[in-house]
Amino acid sequence: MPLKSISLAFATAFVALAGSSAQAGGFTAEQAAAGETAYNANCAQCHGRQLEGTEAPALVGPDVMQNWDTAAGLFDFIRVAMPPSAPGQLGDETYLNIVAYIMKFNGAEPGDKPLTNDPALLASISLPAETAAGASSAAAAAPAEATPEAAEAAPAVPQAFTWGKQLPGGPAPGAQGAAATPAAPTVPQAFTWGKQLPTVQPATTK
Amino acid sequence: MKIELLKSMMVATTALALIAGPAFAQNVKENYVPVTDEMLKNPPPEEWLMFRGNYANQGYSQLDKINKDTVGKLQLAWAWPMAEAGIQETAPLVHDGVMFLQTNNSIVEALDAKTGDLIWTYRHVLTELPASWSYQLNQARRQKNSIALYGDKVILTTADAKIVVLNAADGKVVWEKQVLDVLKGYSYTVGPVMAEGKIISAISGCSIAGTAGGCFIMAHDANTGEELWRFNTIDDPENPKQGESWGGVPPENRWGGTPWTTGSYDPATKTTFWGIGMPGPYSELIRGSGDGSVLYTNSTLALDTETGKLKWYYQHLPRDNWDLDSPFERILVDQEVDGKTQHLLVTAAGKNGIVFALDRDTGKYLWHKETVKQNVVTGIDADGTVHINTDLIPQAVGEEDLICASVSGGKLWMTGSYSPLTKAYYVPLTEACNTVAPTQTEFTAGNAVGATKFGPRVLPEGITDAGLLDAVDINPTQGDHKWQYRSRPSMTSSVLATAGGLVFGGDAARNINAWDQETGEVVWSQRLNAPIGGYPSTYEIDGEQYLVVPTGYSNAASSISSAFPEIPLPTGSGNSIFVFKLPKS
Ligand code: HEC
Repeated sequence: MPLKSISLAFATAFVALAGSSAQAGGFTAEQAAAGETAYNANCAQCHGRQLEGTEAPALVGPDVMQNWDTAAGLFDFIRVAMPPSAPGQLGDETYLNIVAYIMKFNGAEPGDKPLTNDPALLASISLPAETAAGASSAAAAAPAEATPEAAEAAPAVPQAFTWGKQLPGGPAPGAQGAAATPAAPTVPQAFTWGKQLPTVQPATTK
Repeated sequence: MKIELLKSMMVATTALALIAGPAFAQNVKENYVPVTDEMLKNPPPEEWLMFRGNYANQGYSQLDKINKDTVGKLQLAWAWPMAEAGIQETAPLVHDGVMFLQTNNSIVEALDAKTGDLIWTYRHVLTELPASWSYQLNQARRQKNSIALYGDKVILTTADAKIVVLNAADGKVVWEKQVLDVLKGYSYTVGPVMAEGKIISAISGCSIAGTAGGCFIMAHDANTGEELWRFNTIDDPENPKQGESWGGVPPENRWGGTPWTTGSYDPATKTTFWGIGMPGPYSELIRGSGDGSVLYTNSTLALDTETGKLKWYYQHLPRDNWDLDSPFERILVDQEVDGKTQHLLVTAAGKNGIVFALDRDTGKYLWHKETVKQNVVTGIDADGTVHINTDLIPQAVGEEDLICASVSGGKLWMTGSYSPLTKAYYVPLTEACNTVAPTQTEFTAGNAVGATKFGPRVLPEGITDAGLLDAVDINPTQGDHKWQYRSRPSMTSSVLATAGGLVFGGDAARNINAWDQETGEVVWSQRLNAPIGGYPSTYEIDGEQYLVVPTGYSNAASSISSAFPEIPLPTGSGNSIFVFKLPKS
């Protein structure tokens, strides 16, 4: 599911499938648990225990997931550049575990298949889709529905699943306003928001 | 020239002082000497009165006791830990024996510049923001530089978009004003320049979703806080070309244009010069601006300080697709050529490190000189038209291109110095590239609108040294490399040039160095506790010259540390200042 537009469509599809564990996560619960320890030991001092970013950029939030796009994007970055005192020196296994933890913290559900250092696999795991799907199943499990306050208190469970419905895959529905979750303050969007833009396969570097 | 106190505020201040008494351990600087307009125009050599030492933003001191012969004898006089963690980019100011030190989260400390004793602390209580506004929350931890001194006041621009005016003697608030709406995303990250009774400031946060359509350079009355004018860097109804350059994108979908380095000021023409940052979203594909040049992003603006009107602009990087901001120091240089004084503006304007010279009276392009490896600008015509590498403009979401310099520079906030001694501009730089790929992102409150995936910062092919200090010879017709000093670790501080023939600056390996301005030879080096940061500066008290060196947590070091893994960065933040002087003879 390499294409951005397709991955968004996938997010929508996944919402319907929420509860099915077959496609969940792309990482295991064990990986996420090991990743939590590794993250708190090596990353939290700058990026925060809640991934909120204190000395460094935040690693939580739907926009963060959208910007990294796939697990490959995040993995490729941290295995070269982080942590600054020992860049790239924690070993691939640890970096994979940390990616798993960051995904889980952002709402993705663990599954049976482990995350491995396989570029094609990593590139096929859409961070916005997985984290949105996790958030949606969490919401389904707790029908007490995220109120604005709850959303604020728990930034780890953003309501990103709603925006996926408005996105390319078909012509822009012209109801872009609904893309923003009612809970989040409405903010201006890019001029091209909601429009179908051309996309490419990931990892094509000119 | 004293700033008049508003009567009611005087009462409030007095009342507070009575209540506070000695219990707060807040001291007072007795008989503080006010900073006059005259002083700001001709700063006494012993003092460091503003951001870069003078209105011309030169970062040059006329002091020469510390020089090539004596620098080896420097000793530590005192040191001080800063009040707050966060990225360390402070510019300590010194006047009347007091050092005014601004720290992240809008904290100001006044220290005895000779002894290092604390006189007072002002801790601003920042507006509370929702935890999910992470990008905006981070702004308070990356305040970029300085405060301003004026009359008997200290002028602080805060991370929650306020101007706060303090009494220089005791740190008490005289007045404060909410300038722009912090809940939209506005914040100050740079300090103001004071121009004859006006506080000229520029807002940051213009790449945060809620601030769409407006990014401002503003003037306020120093006495009353009244707004006198504002100039919008991304929406100028008086110049139709500006709007057209966004290719149909209405103001409410425009972001960026942040002027995030304190501007320079030419009192002779009453003109202030500011550099402007990148457009948002970063790529034109997401922005929707087609092949438009997206003015006034990545430009130099010359504004009339009396009216706020635009005198001229020059765009250093049109059609930015890679977050290659061009807001850095605009340095004013006068040079005599054939008995005529040439008025230059010199700047390593943007992250791609290209040095430009302009005629500052007209904005006319004079010349440019490349420094670090860069692949986005392919050429510049004699009339100053900049051509970009259109092969590197993404045509599709997810299309990845390798861009040099990187989003962390090349050039970054670390500011160069101009030395009238050698007529050279000393520019601290980093050799780095990164991949850039547009993403389609839904914007959220308090977060940025870049909509881009960046790869890790890596060295350009064939280059093994991340650090570069480039000494560029300046004259009105050309710029040339006088020397280039390369090092494995990246440069992490601004530089200071002095009449002692030295350039001071430091790196990620925690070394503060002094280079010979003529030769580029390192004539003194001292290892400290953390990457060298902020703006080293110098002052003199009782006939002794001091050198102040900020150190601490450095984004610039963190982003490229993989290029020099043999020199691990500390994991502690270490934000401090170290003050050196020569031993008493
Ligand atoms: C000493 C502080 C520090 C530590 C520890 C640290 N980081 Fe970072 N990290 C930073 C800084 C600073 C940046 C931003 C660099 C820049 O501006 O280019 C960053 C950037 C990142 C980014 C890119 C964020 C973005 O939006 O561009 C990711 C992802 C990241 N770090 C993950 C990690 C992980 C995972 C760890 C632990 C293995 C870690 N970091 C440890 C300071 C730190």
